[in-house]
Amino acid sequence: MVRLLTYSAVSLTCVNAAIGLWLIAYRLTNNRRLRAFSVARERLKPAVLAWIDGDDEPPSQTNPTDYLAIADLLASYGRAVRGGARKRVADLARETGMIERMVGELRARRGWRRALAAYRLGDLASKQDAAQALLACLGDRDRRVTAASARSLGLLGAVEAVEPLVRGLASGHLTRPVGAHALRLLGAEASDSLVGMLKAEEEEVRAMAAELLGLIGNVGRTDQLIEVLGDPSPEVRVRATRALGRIGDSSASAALQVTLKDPVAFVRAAAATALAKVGNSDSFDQLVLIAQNDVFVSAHAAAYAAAFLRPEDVEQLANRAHAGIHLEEAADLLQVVG
Amino acid sequence: MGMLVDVLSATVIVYFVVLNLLYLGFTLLAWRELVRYRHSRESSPVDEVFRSPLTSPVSILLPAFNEEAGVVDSVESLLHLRYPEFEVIVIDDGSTDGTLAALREAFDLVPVRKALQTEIQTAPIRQTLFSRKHHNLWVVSKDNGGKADALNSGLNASRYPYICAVDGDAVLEQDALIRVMMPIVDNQTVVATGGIIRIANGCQIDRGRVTEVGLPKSRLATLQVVEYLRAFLVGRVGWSALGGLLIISGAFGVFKRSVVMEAGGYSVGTVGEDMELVVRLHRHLREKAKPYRIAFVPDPVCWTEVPEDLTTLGRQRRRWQRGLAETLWRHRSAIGRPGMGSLGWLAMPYFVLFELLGPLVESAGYLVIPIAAALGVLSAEYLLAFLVLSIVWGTLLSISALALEEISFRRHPRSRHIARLALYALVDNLGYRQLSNLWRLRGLVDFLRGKQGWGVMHRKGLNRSRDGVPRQEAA
Repeated sequence: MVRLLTYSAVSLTCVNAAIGLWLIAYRLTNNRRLRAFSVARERLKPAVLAWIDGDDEPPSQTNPTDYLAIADLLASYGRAVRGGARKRVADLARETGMIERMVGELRARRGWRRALAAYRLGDLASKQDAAQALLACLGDRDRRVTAASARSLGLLGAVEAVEPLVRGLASGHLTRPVGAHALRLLGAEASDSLVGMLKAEEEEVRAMAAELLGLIGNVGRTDQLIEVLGDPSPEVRVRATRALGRIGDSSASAALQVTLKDPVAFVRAAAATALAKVGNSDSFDQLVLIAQNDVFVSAHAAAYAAAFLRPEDVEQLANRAHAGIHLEEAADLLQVVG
Repeated sequence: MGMLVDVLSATVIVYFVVLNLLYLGFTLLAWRELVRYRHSRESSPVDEVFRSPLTSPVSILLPAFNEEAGVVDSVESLLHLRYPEFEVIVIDDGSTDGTLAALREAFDLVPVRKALQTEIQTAPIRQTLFSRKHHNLWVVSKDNGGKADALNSGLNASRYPYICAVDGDAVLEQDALIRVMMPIVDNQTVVATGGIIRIANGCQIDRGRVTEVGLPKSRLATLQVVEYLRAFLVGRVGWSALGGLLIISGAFGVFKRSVVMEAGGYSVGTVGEDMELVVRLHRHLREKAKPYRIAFVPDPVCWTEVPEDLTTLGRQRRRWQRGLAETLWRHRSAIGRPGMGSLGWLAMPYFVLFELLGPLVESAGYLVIPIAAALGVLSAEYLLAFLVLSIVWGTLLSISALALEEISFRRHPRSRHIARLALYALVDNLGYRQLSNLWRLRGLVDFLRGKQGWGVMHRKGLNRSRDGVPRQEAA
């Protein structure tokens, strides 16, 4: 037994020493690698910038560190520039074989490698280079890959991605803020597909389409969104209401006032906020009534909406007895914020 | 008597082997998870989440009781968070020092009547204040009721779908909130997440931001740096991967508000309100058969001050052990119950056997030595070999945690810091571990004696600009 314990202790001491040595070696090599990368990046920066500005001479690369530094520089500039400069980024990435390599990486066995390739393609590639490959990745089993692909498709302006993006969002397979941001980047071109999806069979698809129409903010879609206010699903109604508020088209006022009587409190709250956003002062009395008598969530939203629409009136109301806690809060905030 | 000694030594040895194999398993699991996380970080769409209007807003709750020394820095750090939409609610839990005055002065607070929900009963609210300088900062001043009660008041005052509980002396990194929210953003079934707590002693902090990472001058605090790395990078990462995370530190954790409300809010009858809430959420959601996940995110950093003297550290550890015992006792019926999954069959049995009873078994091990010596059955060779093995094994776990830190986050840029931490990893099993064991044992005794309350804490404040101010944490 003593011998077993002794052998174990000696073996573990060796393991400890090995980890300690590895720690030192790892830190040293890592520091050296990072330093070399940083030096290469600084050295190549002017050449990459000159290329993006239209210089014919591509930056020279003599070793793998240079390649990584150019890729990093192109990715950061690719995120920041548009138009001709963005095309130059894609041209250089193509010439240096980066895009081909990354498209190949989309088939890698490890999820993180596929995700990284999908992410970088959005910064470096052009739509023609990568849109089809990225579209296929929207069905990837790894959520990191679908999120990175959605982001890149948005950056590349791939309108053909609208429907798979909305379906991915509705099914929950795609990270909501990322998918929504991509669709916003696609902008008005996504609107037609989204309007079609307002009539989809699945509740989640209808809800997501309504929300996204609001984010894109196309005034021409107000009528279709008003129609959705009668949807049987409260989730769809609340998103359509929010969308109308975001668009801010005053022609939605009457429909939103009706929505203030919705049986679901969250929908009423969304309607109150939306009415403030479209600037409908006619709904003031109705909002005050809700602020004083409704459940917390809708009363709170109604008080804020009323204060936004007619601040002086809310301040006067709040001075009366039994004004209600929500109007009091709104009035006090008006004093502070103005 | 000889027989008893044999049984005791056999128990201690089996316990030692099982526990250390489990630790080794966790280390390997954490290694896999951290490598995965490190790779994923490069393609993490943090910027898109920041820009998206669909990112859920968050109410940050900061309970403060006599936190005059650090509360302004903490609030500053929160106000500078990079997150699309959030509100900060500081709950002054009846402080008797200048906490409220410091907040008033720093943030130009004025009284505003705030509509508060009353779903959870709390101690009376004295006043609600709003900042003229930062329109997302509220302060709720209330009668003292303890940390859990303060958090419940914050819950009642919050208006966003997620709450983030932060300690009154904590400093969050700018990206901490968005990173801790990433699992929630990615998957709506995630109901709670926690970030890593790192030690701020020795770091340079300027207006609520850590500008330079350093190591504490105090040896005791440096030992805790190694200990925290082990606890978070190995323990929390491992349990999160197994779906059995029972602790989200009270210093920094995000929760889905509606689920916390459904479960009844924070429990006021325990000093381990953070762990108790997480265990209750597990139970609540499992009983309702709802799909859910509670995750630990190793990247978002919350910096906090740790005790630098033995008395305060001892009190803290006793309190932690008491909190653990209270939670496990309260939820004992979940152990081994059908439908409780990894909570009832894995995490809770582990915590009872190794975290709660660990100090007892370890102390029994130390007791056996003099008894065996008195009985003349002590083998000096055996004892020495066993002691050396336990120390070397402990060192392996600590140094592995350091290696995990190095492959993942490298928060200590100076090589000499790593060398110093490696040295502390070698020595933390010689004295510090035994001392911790003693404190935990006393915590267990405190629980058995039904002790209540938090005890006295000595804090200097993170900016180190003032002398230590002794304070009472909560009644």
